[in-house]
Amino acid sequence: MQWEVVIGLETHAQLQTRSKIFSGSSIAFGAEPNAQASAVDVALPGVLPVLNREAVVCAIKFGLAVGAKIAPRSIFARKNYFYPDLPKGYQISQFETPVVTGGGLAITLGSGETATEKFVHLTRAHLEEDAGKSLHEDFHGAPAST
Amino acid sequence: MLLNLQDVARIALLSRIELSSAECETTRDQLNGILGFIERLQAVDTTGIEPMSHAVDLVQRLRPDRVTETDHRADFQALAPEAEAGLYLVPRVVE
Amino acid sequence: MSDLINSSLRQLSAALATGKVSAVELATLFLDRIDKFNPSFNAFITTDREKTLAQARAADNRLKVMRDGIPANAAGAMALTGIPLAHKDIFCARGWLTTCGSKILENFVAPYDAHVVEKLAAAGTVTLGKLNMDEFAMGSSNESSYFGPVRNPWDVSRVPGGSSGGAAAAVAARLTPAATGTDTGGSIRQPAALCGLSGLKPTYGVVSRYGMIAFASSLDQGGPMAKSAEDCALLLNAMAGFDARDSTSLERPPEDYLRDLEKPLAGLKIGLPREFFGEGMDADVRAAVDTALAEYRRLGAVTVDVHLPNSGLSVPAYYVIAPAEASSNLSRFDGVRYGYRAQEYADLEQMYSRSRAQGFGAEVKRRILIGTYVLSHGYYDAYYLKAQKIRRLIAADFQQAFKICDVIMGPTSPSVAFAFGAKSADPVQMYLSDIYTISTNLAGLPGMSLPCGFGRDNMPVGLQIIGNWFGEAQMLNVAHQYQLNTDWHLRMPQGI
Repeated sequence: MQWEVVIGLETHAQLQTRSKIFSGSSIAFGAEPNAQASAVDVALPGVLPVLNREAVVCAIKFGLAVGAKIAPRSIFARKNYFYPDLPKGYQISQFETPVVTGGGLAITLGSGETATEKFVHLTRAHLEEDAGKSLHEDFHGAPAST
Repeated sequence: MLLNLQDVARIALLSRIELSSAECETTRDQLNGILGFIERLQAVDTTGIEPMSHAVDLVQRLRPDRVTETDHRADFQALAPEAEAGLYLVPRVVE
Repeated sequence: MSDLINSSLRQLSAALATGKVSAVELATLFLDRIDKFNPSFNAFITTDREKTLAQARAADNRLKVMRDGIPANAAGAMALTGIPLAHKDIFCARGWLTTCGSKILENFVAPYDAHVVEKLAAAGTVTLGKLNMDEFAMGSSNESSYFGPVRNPWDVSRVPGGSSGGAAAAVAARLTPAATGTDTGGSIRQPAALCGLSGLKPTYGVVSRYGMIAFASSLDQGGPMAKSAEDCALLLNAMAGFDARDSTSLERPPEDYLRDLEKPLAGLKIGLPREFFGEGMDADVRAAVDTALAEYRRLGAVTVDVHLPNSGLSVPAYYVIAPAEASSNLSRFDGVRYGYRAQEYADLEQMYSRSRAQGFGAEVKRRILIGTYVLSHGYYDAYYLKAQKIRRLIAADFQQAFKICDVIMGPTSPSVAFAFGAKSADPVQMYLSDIYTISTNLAGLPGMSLPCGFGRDNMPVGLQIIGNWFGEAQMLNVAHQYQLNTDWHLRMPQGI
């Protein structure tokens, strides 16, 4: 029997925006824990998310660069689960109808005369918010979540 | 599609709501009462009908990419059951 | 002082503008009444005399500046300055305990203002306190509040309706001139009907949901509850408006909801859905509604038969959609960042499940469980998607009806206020209290209830008016003209 190895990769990239995808908090690296967590980010009762235009622009640019199809109508969904670094109890993500579908990247394998070209197909690319961060090391007897 | 006690326990776990075994029984009966009531939706022919997720059909308004928030950590963490050094404290998850 | 407690907002505004009464005097009058009567009705969860009077003093300063400055639009700008009102405890108000009627938020002091609270404060209103409600707005009788049931000022052995029951009881007992409420399936209109008030649920998106603790996001809408349609119009002028923090807030030019109040009703076409006048409505309610319709005909309106063939599906569709959205929305109450955390737990999982089991009441837990089930793997299509498709059918029925009528009328509630415990044992019976109001939320339409007489045991009956999208001004006109010719809205309970 002949086997073919098929490897799927799930890749996450943080977009170079100024503010978070659903709130006006800074995404600057290196700030104190929770110093950039707004009412929306810590999921206070009554707050609502508003989508960052630049995040959508980034996704569309990426989709066009890889020859993908850009969805004229895209849907955000809630992925519900409980974890201390997920303040709302759900992550706003995309499931059906992501913003980017298809496309791919041509890469070169090997070099010189034996070099071959391979096309890596993309299934989809979607936008989602990142969860917070949990610190598991001992912290006065209890671990902590930011 | 009636729920049994196992189903109720599974739903309670997904919902993170602790139910005693006595509560599981009354909950089963009440949930089955409600499910029986909503069961009548199944009889309706909805072929070709688009689901309506919102009352008004709108184009998503997008927010300009500007930082508009300032640090409210002290205010927000004053509300927390347990917080220290800027962190929210919860029971250990990873040993 | 009794004339002040029965005054319309316009009359109060005039009294404040001319200095006949100060904002501090007015606030004190109502705070004293709350001290005296609230123990009988349990309408307020929180009052804070110091905060209220500070706001009233600021209003008096503003009134003085306006009186001295006399800008061209002084009267308009002053309309609500110094007017006391109270907020349903679902609205976050900075520095105020904001509980949503739940133990899980028993100690939650909101660090920010809801858009509605912010706008009404900017208009110069003075907050008297926070009003009792069914826990997380889930209920039709105000029996599910962690802070105890609210009693109906017309008969304290009966419920005030829900979920804005504290708001309804407070206005009916003249503990506040007006209040804010929210309506997800009838929670403004049904308690307004059961307590003899006027209450309006706007078109979805007219009032921002920012800072209004979410129950079912695609249905929730804030609105005014007051003694008259005119008062509701004045309040809606201040409450409505675009808010960039709510993605479903509608960007429309500002409206003056008072603009059509004086229009005559001649030629108005009132649609009467036969589905609203069949079995299920009590005879006393029917008699009062029929008399109101006769009055409308006398005022020059004509009534036409309309059909809402899918309206019978609105309650079951609602009890899929609303719990589904609620189960997700209420996940944030987990005892981590704010709110109640159980005392004893062995690990994180137990901390979650015990905090939520102890922090939520029975009805909220029931709806979270139902919602979790209908959204769970394998059932999503059968329940949630199915209900959303039926929602579209229900909304389409209304558009069909509005082709031949301007507004729709019917009862707000199938019965007058019922006794405590009458429906609390059977959730489905309680859900049917909203049989005439829920379809409006599913369709996103504006709806109103106004008092139209009295039924059994001298309890108030509400007439419901449903408008087409953005038909608030017309609905208010239709209600106001009726109130110019009747005095049901001026009646008040005895002993207060």
